[in-house]
Amino acid sequence: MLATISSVLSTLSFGTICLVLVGVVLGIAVGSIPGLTATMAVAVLTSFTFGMESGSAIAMLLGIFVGGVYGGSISAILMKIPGTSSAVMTALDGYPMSCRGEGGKAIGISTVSSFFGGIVSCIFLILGCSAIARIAAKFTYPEYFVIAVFGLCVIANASADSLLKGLLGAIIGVFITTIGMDNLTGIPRFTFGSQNLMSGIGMVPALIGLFGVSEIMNQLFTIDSEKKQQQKIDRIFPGWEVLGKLKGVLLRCSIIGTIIGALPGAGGPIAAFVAYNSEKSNSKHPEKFGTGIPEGIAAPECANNATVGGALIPMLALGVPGDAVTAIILGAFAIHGIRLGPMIFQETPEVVYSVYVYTIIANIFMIIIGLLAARWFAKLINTDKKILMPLILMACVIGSYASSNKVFDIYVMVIFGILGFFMDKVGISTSALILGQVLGALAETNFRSALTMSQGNYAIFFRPIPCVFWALTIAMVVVPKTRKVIKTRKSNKSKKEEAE
Amino acid sequence: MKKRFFQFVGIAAAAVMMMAGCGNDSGEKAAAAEKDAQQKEAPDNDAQSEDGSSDYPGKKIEVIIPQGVGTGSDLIARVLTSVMEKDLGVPFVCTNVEGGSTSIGLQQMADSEADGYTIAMNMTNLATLQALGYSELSREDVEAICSVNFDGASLFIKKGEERFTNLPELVEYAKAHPGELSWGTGQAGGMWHMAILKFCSVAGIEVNVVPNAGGGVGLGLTLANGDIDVAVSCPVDCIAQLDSGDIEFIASLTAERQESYPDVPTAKESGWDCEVYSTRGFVAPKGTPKDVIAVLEKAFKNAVDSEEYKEYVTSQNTNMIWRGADEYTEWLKEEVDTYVPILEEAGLAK
Repeated sequence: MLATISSVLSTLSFGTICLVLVGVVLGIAVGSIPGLTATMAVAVLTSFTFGMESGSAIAMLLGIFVGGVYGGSISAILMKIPGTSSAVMTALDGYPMSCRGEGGKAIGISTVSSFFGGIVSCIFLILGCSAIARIAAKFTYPEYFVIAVFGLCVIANASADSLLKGLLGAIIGVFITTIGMDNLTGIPRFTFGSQNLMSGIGMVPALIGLFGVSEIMNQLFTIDSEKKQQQKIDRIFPGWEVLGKLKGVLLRCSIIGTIIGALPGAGGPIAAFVAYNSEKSNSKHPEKFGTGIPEGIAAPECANNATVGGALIPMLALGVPGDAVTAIILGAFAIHGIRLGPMIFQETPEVVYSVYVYTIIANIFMIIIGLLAARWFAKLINTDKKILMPLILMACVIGSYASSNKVFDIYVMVIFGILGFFMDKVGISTSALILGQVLGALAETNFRSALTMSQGNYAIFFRPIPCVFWALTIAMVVVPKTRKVIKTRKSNKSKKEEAE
Repeated sequence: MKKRFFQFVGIAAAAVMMMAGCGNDSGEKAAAAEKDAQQKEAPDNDAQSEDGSSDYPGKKIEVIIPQGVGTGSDLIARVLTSVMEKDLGVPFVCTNVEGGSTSIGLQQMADSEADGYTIAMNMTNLATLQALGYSELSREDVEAICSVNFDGASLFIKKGEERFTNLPELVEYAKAHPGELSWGTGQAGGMWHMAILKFCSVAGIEVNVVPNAGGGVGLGLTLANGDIDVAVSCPVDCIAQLDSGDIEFIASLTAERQESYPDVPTAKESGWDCEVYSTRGFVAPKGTPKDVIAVLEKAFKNAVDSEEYKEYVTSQNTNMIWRGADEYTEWLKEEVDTYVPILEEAGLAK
């Protein structure tokens, strides 16, 4: 134990701690700009770490990762434009709050929840890394297919008020994933001979279009009539009373986030979506979700930051990236001659400890900077909309281009902007579309790969782990409905009794 | 309403200008190239270096990497260019343009000005783009600079496999149980997919090919879990499981044994003549001046000889090679001659 502590301390120095801070600040800055994602922040800034020695590079990269995932929520709350796909759900309750002038409070809740999620996932990372990784390693095609089905059922469940509109959004999303080169055979689908469509529709430009551009178009029609809502910025820290109420939400969502984060290939958007909807369907007042309540921010934010610690688990213990960001970090480690994987715990445990320590430090910096900067961010949107909107549009254009270095993606952004505008007008859920896009590819590829692997035998979808998920899926669809039925029956009964 | 309309037009105009700003890159390059050409024509001897070549390079060089950040190709390009920056004294900007089995990035390079300020990393995939119907691009559209690295196709089985422990046993088993074994690999139509097809035709066996067997967790884990029976890839793709001993490297489809794994026999040693490589190199747009290519070739040679590169290659258990511009041009042709017939035979060619 002493050896462990001393080796942890030996990795710390003033310089590396400063680098974590720099990383967190850069990550928040990049993450909060619509269109620039945590993945991009890590990708761009990775090249700066090539010249550093490995400890410093790890410190900075983890700082960027933590900051970037958190930063996405700021623009989601203030402008309804999620900085990253993980923050899509945050916009649902964050933006109504900021419209009421409570932007500062909303960022405060998001910051504290993110911190909580981050720290809980770190605890899981430290205590259960190898155990969780062993389970995560068992997840292959059939397991992922069932998870995707589970996710799609979450959409159906979430849009209980208008099942048809929710599913319509998801189906459009699923359809979009079929555009491009087929993963299994390499055959181009729905590309109409266009070279640009070969790689499919990018997630980032679609996201920016659906949320950013469509919101700008919306604002155009209200810009003159809207009464200016000054942001109240007196109180950023949510206060212990609010946090006390949220503690159940935070704990559940951290666990959801860590588990989903640990499954390679699932990631932030799914975690946030599942967390939001499980809170909504278990809530005593589900109808309030979406109107700007603290739970609606805490749930997705806590879950998406918990995926950071979760995603580090397979990266460290299996040498397999948990998501796009950890894939890049894995590459950066390789440049520094560090090979991650099961052997690292014996061969270079100090690398593992430094990952633990820097992730915790990064989370601490995140909450400090988040709370300090919230005031400033909230003030920022007091800027005249006629100045702010064109600036945001420019950020959207740059973000779309930067996501892939293709001009084509700017057109994709514009088209999705128009699509998003009309979807909003008729009430089809755009967040369901994004989730459909995430899950569509997951479902299709894994379904087909599983069948190729089993040579056409469907029994492969009923191995132990998929069976657990089938059970969860059925429970999730059936339980709230039966609860509703029982409730109405009870109330009918009591009414009858009253009448008698 | 009218006012609002004008506002919208204004913003739309701003957006279009932004797009133009992004897209105008090649236009700028054209202007710069013209300027360069004028400078070259000018009888100003000071601008020419001692060995008589032009003043190339005079500004940043863009390197298009047709694969994602953090991939093997990306890292190799970044290690090399970081050395070349010091050598040539100009910045190298690495841009990742993914998709279409490397064709999208290469197309962007091919569409750029042939002045040596835009080059791209190239992989063996180029040989198969046309045959697979992914793109019209071929080796005719590029000017080879050099080739720097290769990975050899490698066969892996899981630890504790009882049915076979080496290649001859594996082939024997596959012959006795045609179509039973699942052989997993990476991208459909990629080099390792091709390696399976070629080996099966050489050895006369029939197997169930599972492309994209990486799935979420990577090829090595899929094999270690027992979901596939054999994995065909290169060592670096499964390095974590190889290190931990969860999977075993039983045969290398290369002419000689791989440097990092001297104990692993080649298929040739067991009597099956099958070699498949994925080679990485650098190319420039067609028509790039010979002297510019020569400057780049020399700089790449210095970078390949550097300690940094050697260290990286050893740490990743991949392989170093050096083929200059002429040799690489030949090699690109050879690749087409080798792999297109395999695709045709397998019915994958368009």
